[in-house]
Amino acid sequence: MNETATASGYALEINGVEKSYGNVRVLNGIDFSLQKNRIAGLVGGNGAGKSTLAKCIAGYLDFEKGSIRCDASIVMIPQEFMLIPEMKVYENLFLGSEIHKYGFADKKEMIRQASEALDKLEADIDPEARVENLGVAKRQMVELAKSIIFPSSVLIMDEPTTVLDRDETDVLFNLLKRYRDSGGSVIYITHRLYEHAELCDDICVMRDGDIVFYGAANTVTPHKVAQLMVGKNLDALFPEKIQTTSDAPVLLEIDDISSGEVIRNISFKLKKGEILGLTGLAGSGRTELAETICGIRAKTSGSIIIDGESHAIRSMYDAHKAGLSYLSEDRQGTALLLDDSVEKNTVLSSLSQYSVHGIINFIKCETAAGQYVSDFNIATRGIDSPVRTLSGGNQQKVAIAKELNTGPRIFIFDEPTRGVDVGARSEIYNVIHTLASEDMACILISSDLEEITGNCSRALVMRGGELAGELEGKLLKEDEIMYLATGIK
Amino acid sequence: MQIVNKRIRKIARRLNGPYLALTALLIVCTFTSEVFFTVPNLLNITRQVSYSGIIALGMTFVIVAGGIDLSVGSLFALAGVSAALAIQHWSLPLSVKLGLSLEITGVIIGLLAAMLSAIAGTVANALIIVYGKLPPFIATLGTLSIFRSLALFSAASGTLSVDNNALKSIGTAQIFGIPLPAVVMLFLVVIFEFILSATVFGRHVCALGSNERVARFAGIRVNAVKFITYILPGLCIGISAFMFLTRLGSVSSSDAGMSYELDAIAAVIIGGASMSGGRGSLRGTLAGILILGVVSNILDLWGVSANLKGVVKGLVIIVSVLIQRKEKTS
Repeated sequence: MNETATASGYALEINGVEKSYGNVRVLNGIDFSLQKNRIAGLVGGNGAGKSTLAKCIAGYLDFEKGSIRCDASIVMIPQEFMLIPEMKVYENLFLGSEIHKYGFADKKEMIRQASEALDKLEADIDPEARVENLGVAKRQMVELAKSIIFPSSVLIMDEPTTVLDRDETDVLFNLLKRYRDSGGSVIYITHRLYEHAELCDDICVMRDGDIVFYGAANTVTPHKVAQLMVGKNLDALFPEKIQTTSDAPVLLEIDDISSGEVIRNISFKLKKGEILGLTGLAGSGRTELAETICGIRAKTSGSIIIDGESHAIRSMYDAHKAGLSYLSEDRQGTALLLDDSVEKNTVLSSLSQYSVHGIINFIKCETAAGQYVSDFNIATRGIDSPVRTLSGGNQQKVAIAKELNTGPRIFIFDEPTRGVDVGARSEIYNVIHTLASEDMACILISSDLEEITGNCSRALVMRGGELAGELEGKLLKEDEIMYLATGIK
Repeated sequence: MQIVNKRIRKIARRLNGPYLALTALLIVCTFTSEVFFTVPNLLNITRQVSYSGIIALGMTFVIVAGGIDLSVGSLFALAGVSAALAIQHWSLPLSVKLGLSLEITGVIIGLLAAMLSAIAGTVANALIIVYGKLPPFIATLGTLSIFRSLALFSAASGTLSVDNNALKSIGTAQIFGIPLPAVVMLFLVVIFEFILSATVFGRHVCALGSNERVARFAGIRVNAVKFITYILPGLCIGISAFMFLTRLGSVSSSDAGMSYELDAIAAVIIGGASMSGGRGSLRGTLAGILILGVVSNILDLWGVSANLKGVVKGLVIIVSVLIQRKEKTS
């Protein structure tokens, strides 16, 4: 449906595009023109229609009405990666457009071009490494390398930085700016407001399938953008910090635990009522530490003491019994059964509570799920809807409800707001704070430093599988965290 | 009341696919053959499908849990052979010891031997899959060969006969005119359906099949659930093999249970289960069993060569999955 644009000075012109899923209208006649040599930030809450619009532009989705005109080729880097894990990096990069000589694949040439592209990205990735052995951040870089190898005039990126740390983000931003200066245009979708000020020339705000603002980035403050997104005056994003008294009892004590070479000799204490931050660069072992505590990853030494009692935790089953809950960073891969209903997911971890002699009490399950839907303000058509149909933020709320159902005393949140819009973010923070104030204790793992400083009064910083340091009170600032995380201090 | 209504509607919706196909098939058969829709013929079908059908019920759990068991046919033969051998060798000494009649002792020993050997076989499968961490396809491909070979060796590759009137009367027994194996199968459908859809274990089996990592992170004892799941076919095989022996009075170590694994898997798939796990039901499998049985029966009645039956059976499997895929994507 994409036609070649006239010499209008626009890289992309969209007129009156309408799109519905079933009876639900997601785009109500979008008009949008992307100028050449500009980076346009596309922001909006969950279900605002950003991803749908992007997919329509890229040709992944059909739309009912309107037209999209484009100068030349469009490349979209989607939120979910389209890489084949079992294949090598260069094989993925040239998948479907392999370079060949006399009918044989020209491996050398492909590897050369792949490493050239990866070098431009300053990504330390071997073109012959298998994708399954790469972390999420590196996989993202591989996706990006595609856009370098196959030049395009419009690049669409859907939330690229959610899996990148600060350094990698800087590399990405520089790259995008260079791409713009060399004649390309970028549509950049993100939830992180400060990124717009840093990167974008224009900002386009979407709400409920409409564009509510489109203009130069320097004419609006991030705060104003946030207000436009939710359509009302936004209260402060972070709830008021909880002040834990120094004589609060210790709920969790981690004593010198290790897991092979991945986690080495980590000790810390967590007090009742506390929200303890845990941060570090990608690959520093944040998630691995949480997995070791919860018994998902084998512990090679050390002990876990909850309420003064030592617990041998060898699986998530043991962790739940000990009063530990873990919200995984990989929501879709480890936390939710996407094709199952909101109700089934809500009770999945705690079915024994909803059953007598192993037989499920369905009415009890429905009541509980309905209760969570209203308590957490989960936007869903009903508790029977598959979780797949929910937006990221609402999926996350279901995942939290599922873990809360196990009745934890300690709750570890791993990147709880990844891929979640501003409105839901604030709600999730409120949940975390409420839990902490209700005699529980929380650990908040995040690569978003603003999230750590905004929610926690104490934070641990990891580096290379070890604890690099602890910051508290006034010292808990983004630059201090960065010093520890990178090892400057 | 509203909740009950909703639940009934939900169940009705789920029944659709395979049962619509079965109804259509029954109508076509009734109009093309005079013999088809007669009580003796219908009862004959239910008996014929029961032996592999009962196994398909256990297979449903394995497939919903995301696995497969290829060894069921061989294990069926091994269980039958074990039962026959046990009856031949131990009936006399044990009946003296227990003070029971020879025939009753034979029945008890036969049932026990069939059950124990079948369950032992599936425990072996479960151990290899859960603790050896082998893919179920490979593990049970191996035991398929092992079980058949053990059956052939134990019976010197021949047919073992048992002469016992009590056994014979079980083999021909009917309850309200319905052959015993069919009654057992229907009873198991109801019990298993309840287990799969309304118990914690059943929900965990589904979770395991849809996404094992999610199940692990949800604190489900994945290994325990898997272990029990792989043993369920053994329970079914034991019952089925024993009834098969009582029916024929003999068991052939080379022919018994031949290609039962394919019939069982086919029934589960035609019944709407997903081969990748997470989705499936016992009532669906029952429809699958009946569809296969009716197709086989009507081909006989039409006088189609027995050698061509495989073609039709294969087409039924392929077409039913094609239709289901269409339904899912639309």
